[in-house]
Amino acid sequence: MSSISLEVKDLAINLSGNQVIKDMNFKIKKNTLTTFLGPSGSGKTTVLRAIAGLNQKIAGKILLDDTEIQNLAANQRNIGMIFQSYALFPNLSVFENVAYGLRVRKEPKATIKEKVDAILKTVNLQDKEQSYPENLSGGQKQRVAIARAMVLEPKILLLDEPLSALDAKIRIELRNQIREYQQRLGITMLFVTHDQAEAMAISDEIIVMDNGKVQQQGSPLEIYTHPQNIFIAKFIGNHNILDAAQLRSLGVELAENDKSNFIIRPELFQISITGDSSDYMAVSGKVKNISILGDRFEYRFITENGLELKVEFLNQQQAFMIETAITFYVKKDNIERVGI
Amino acid sequence: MEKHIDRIIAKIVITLISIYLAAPIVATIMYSFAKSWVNTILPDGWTFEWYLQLITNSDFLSALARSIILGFVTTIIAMCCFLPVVFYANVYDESIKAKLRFITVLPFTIPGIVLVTGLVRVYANLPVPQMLVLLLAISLLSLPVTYQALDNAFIAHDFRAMFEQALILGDSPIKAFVKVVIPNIRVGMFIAMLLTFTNAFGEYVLTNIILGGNYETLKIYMYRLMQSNGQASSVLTTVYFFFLAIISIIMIAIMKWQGSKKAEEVEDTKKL
Repeated sequence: MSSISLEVKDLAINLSGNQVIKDMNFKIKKNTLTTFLGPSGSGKTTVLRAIAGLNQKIAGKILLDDTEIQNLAANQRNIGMIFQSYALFPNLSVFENVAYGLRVRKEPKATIKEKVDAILKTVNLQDKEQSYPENLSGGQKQRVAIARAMVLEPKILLLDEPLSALDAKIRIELRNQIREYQQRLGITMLFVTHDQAEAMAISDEIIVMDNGKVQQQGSPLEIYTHPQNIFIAKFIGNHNILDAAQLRSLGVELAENDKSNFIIRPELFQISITGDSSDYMAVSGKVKNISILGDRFEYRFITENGLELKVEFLNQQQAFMIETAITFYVKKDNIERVGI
Repeated sequence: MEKHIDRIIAKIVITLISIYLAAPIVATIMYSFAKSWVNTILPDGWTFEWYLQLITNSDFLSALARSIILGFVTTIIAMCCFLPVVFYANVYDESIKAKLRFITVLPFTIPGIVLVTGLVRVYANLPVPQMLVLLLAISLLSLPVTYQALDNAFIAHDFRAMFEQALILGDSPIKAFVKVVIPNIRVGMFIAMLLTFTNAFGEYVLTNIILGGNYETLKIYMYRLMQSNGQASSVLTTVYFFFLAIISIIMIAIMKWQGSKKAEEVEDTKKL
């Protein structure tokens, strides 16, 4: 049996005459949480809707468990979806919301009761089954939406920015909750977000999208540490991006015809070296600005030749004062070459 | 001191306007119960006789039945025509709402007589029943109120997501519409239906010109009665007035109930 749950081949989507998705290809493994990450307008939701069958004017193939589904209507795909607004039906109780799909499938009443009770217990909402959506908190609504989707045992669950309307603290709580259910129930999830931290925190894999194309697919760590191009480097992290000339000006030897771009992650700077000094690039200059981010300090640092670099340290020691003259070190191996 | 005088003047003005507006209604109601009211300040006595006469009058009952039929059929046509359009505009293509708004004010800007003349000329030589022309014309005239009431009903929830969620859960588009959309706009639909019904129920110009004496509705009967029997006509006016008042009260009650429900929701959310 294949380990791939969903495969998208040469997907192209036109909306109002504009090709918003171009030759897209990716695979999603079973029982993993994969995140579509990209800025607004990058095409994340468009692809998600195409997978769900809500946008059928597409070219290319969508395979779910090795079966082509691109020509099936939304109600024939056995895919679950959670919308940003959760789309709970306000006129139905929690029980009836969760039972909706089972009733559509004309399952026997006893089976419906048994399945709904079981899934409500799983999401800790057994005492809310007679409540209506208007009387639930944001977290409870989300759990009802998950239960409603999961009770049908879909082959994949799509989540379209389900946390974007919430404040920061609740977002963290709910994203952890989503991850917990994904792992506990062993669901394949495809999660859409524009929030890098959210994607990094809960994903097994991230698919970075921009301008209707997949820019990179990989584990969160892989994408963060080895971004394939400048867009990803800028979008996924707070990296320092330098061209070859700038890096040469800091004393790194490069071939004369080298036109590459390089990234240096701000947290990789050190204030002292261990081992061979020739392994390090030393950068001297002054602290221009400091931002206290709670757990760490972020410095804007001006080098002697006028380059501005971002440097981060954990909040474990006294912060450097503005205008402090200092030398930072970074291992040459940690200077990453990226494509354009 | 100046403020005090302003308040007194405002109260006097409001009282005079209220009397000016209420006097004809009160007089009509009193006249409908009067035994006789000629050359006296108040009637000579009170009676239900005119009411009994009216409700046993077959012309009145026929006119009432015709008006009710006209109201019902027009409401059904208006809902069947406008509800899918308003749904589509709100759920799938908000850009057409501006055009729809323009279309919905047209019945206000085109006088009824112009509309009727146009309709009669267009359909005179076509095999379309005049009754159908009338029903469609009245439905169109009710468009401004029907559209607004339906449009407001779609503000409350994310209907696109709800509709699509029902599709993903396995329903067909028609079943999803009936099971998910309609129950959640029922209050707005009810108000739209009441407004369309009262509009059609009280319609005079189009009915009189298109069908004339062939289809005497309550309003046409009322005008005919005014010319022959003032007291019976005041009874009819009173009945008509209370009928509209009851519908207005129902609508106000629904709107208030909705308002208090929303306030409760806000309170509940705050508590959570």
